[in-house]
Amino acid sequence: MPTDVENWKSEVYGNEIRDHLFEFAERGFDSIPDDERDAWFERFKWWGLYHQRNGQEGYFMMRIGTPNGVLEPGQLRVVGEIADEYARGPGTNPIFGDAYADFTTRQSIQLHWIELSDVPAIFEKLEANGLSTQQACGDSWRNIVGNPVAGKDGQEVIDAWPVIRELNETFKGDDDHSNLPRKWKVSVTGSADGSGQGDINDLAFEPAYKEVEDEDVVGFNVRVGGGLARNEPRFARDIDVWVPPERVPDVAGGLSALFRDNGDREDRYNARIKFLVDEWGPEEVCETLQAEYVDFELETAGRDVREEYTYNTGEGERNDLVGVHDQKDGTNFVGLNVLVGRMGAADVLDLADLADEYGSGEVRLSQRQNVIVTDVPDDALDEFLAEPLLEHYSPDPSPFMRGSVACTGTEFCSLSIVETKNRQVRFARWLKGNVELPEGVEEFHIHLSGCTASCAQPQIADVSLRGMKTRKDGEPVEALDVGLGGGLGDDPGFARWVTQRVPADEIPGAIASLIDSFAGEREEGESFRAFVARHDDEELDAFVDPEETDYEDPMMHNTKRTWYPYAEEDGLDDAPPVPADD
Amino acid sequence: MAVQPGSVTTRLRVLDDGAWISVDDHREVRVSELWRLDAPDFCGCDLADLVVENFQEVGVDGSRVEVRVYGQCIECGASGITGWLPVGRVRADEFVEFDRSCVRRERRE
Repeated sequence: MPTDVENWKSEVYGNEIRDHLFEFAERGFDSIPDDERDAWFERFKWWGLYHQRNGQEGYFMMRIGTPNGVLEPGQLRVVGEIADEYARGPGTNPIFGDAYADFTTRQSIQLHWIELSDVPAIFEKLEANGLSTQQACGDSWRNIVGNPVAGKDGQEVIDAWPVIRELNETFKGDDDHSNLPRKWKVSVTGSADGSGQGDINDLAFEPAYKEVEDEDVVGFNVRVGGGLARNEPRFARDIDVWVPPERVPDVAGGLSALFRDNGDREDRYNARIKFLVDEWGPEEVCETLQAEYVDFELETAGRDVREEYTYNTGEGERNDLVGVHDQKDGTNFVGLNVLVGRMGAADVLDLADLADEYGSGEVRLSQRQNVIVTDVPDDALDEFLAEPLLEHYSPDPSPFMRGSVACTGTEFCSLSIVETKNRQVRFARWLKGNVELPEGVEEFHIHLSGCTASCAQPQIADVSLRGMKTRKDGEPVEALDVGLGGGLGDDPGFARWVTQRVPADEIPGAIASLIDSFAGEREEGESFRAFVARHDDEELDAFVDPEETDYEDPMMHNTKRTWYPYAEEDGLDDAPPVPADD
Repeated sequence: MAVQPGSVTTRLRVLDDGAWISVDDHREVRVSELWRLDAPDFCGCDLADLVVENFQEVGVDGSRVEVRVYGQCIECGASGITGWLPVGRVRADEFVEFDRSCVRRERRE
């Protein structure tokens, strides 16, 4: 039997939602019929609007999809202006203030506290500037990810940006692909560093060479069925297909249609294509694609460059894109660290000014929640790096700042079990002040996800933290499971969950003891990931020695029982009313 | 799903990836709570101390609203999906959640 969500989608879905959305915005939040709220909130996701958690009724998270994380000149300023004007609500974040933008692990932007009545004006401004929230959430093609500096990167095998742009233009708003069984996450990477993180996407195009008519041609190998959510992590499976750039839309559309027609619409927990690949195997996916969804002969996989991957591998060069890097055209891109991906609206506007002044005005977003200013000439570099804003958003941050990734958490999210972003900021600051990494270890990735949905991609970090609960002195407290040694690369591996249910205030002490053991027992030049790989779970658990330190965590209570964790009067009974429709 | 506890039709749903239970389009029961369970099929503890991570299904038994939950017992570490657990009651068109501090007994088949 189809689910309620499928029934709602079969009635109204895709582009047509917009007219209803605008009508509700015009007539006011209360005009959404009481018995249709679940249905409309589900549908609004397709246009990038996600109703915030209980206690925050009538406020929405708005996600702006920026393909490949590319913000063309002027677009960052538009984001900053919208955040400043509209992303303000009744709650003030003690670290980030009143209006901010979140850069996500899928190279998108999220704003909070958006009111329904403001949506038409926001859409008008976004669209006048080439930005959109279309399909940023919901069951369809999500924001396409890749190496954010595609087209500029000195390490590039093939420029994937025109391919991504074409896919975005083809499949955003395409009625044939607007209603899929579940979300559809696509990665297209042209660089040899693996920074598109294809392995954790539903569909991945990765650079590969193929001999075609005695010539070595650069195109893409295809992998299908990756994803991290719900305690069921999978790396995308190789379906033994190579495709030239001009055929990517045909193959991507064929696989999207295969998913549309064969994915499970009766059980949303079993709907992602990773489960279909489990059931069929990669061979059957390839055979079905060939037989039913493309009208040309598919080529077998070409020679990939996976052995050169460095991004998020835990060893080697360029695990992220922070710092100054060469562009193909002789200028530079400068990756700036944005701790947990959150930037105040005023800083967003300042950064937009700096991008104009020192670069081309363009800015790009990475999958490590960071921001990259492109096209900075050599002779402007020193002056740019001396700008005061870069003291906070540093191109050369502490490894603990640089390595921190966090999801939204209980501040706004219905599913999260614990507070995340502010906690990760507190962790990073404490670790920076109290812990030293062994010599030669420049990066140390710690990802904090509030639940098993894994939006912070915890399974591919050196230290993975995942929201949990435990009791401390008999009282329920927020806790985290600790996983170790995950990473991508030629031989990707998920973190092993070695220590469970550590009270959140004992995590900094646990990480300090772990790094201490790593420093003491490390073989010469050994990476943390290799160190983890040569120990069994029991040994690793012994290295993680949770203890209280002078770190203080003000969010040990059940933050989900608040309307907003940082409010003075935080109880659900103190929740603000639905915002007025003016 | 629409069910009829007594004579009143009530809409019960698991929404947002199992984040909460909707009763008549209102968010009534949420994840991230600790529930004490009398559920010998779930784990060996006398009373499981379950972190509610995901709702899997919602249904009714008479006027009683029940759920199946993915979670973990923080006493012993066992994780998985529970049997049917009571979460509240629909009375005169109103949902009333059971006291979260009370022990919840898994329905015996």
